[in-house]
Amino acid sequence: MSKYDISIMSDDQINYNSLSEITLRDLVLGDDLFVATSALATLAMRKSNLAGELAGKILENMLGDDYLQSAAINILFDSDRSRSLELLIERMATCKPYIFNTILELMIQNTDVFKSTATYPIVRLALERIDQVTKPSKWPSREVLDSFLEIFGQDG
Amino acid sequence: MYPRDELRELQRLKQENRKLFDQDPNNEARLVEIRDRLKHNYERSQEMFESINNIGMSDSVADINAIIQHLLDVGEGLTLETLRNHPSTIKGPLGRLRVGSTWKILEDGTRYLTTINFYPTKGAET
Repeated sequence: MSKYDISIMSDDQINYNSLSEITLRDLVLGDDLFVATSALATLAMRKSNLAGELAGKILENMLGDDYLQSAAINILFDSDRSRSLELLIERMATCKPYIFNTILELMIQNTDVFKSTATYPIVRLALERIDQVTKPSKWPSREVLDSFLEIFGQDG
Repeated sequence: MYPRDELRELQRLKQENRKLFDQDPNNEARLVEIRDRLKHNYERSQEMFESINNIGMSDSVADINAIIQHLLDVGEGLTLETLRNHPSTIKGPLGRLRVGSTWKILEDGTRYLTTINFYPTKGAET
C-alpha cells in the first residue's frame, strides 16, 4: 500500500439529497460527526419521521458531540414538542455551555411557546442557570444572553 | 462561515410573518439546513481549529501539509483491526494534539479517510 492509494473524502463532497433515508440513518449513527450532522439535517429537511426519532435517540443517549446534539434539540422540538420540552427540563441545569446556548436560541426563536404558563418552569430553569454564569465565556454568547434576558428577563 | 444573515432573516420572517414564510416551502428547508447543519458543522470546525492553534499551528500551507503528511503516514500503517477511530498524535511547536481517524478500504485497495476528530485540549499537551 502506498500513499498514492490513499484518498481523503470530506463532508461537503457528499450529495445528501441523493441518499436514501436508510443510508442517511446509518450516517447519522456513524463515526463522522460532520456527516452525521448533515445527514440528520437532511432527514429533517425532508420532514422524515426518522429525523425526530434519531434526534430523540441522540439526546437520550448523549450520542455524538455538542454540535450534533444541538442540531438534535432543534429537530426534536419541531417533530415531537412534548418529548423535547421534557428533555429541556431534564438537561437545562447540566448540559454543556454550547448546548445551553442552543437551547436559549431555540427559546428566543419560539417566544410564543415559551411565554406561556405551561412552559414557564423551563424559562425559570434557564434564568437560574444564567444567574450562575459569573464570568464571561464563549457560550452562551453575550448576544444570545442579552436577547434572552430582553425577552424573558424580569422586564421582558 | 455559515450564512448568518440569511438565517437571521429567515428566523425573523418565520416569527413575524408566518403566513408569508409558509408560502415558500423552500424557506423551512433552508432554515433547517443553515440552523441545524451549516451552523453546527461550522462551530465544530472552529473548535477543531482552536485545538490546532493551541499547539502552535495555523492554517498556513506548511502546517496544512504537515497535517496531511501525518494522515498519509497513519494511512500507510493501518491494519484491518485499526481502521476505526485510529489514534495518533500531531506534534506542534507548543504541544501535541490527539487525533482519531477512521478509514475505509475500498475494493480496489484505496484507503479512504472518512473521519478526522481532533480532541480538544484546554491547553497544549506536551
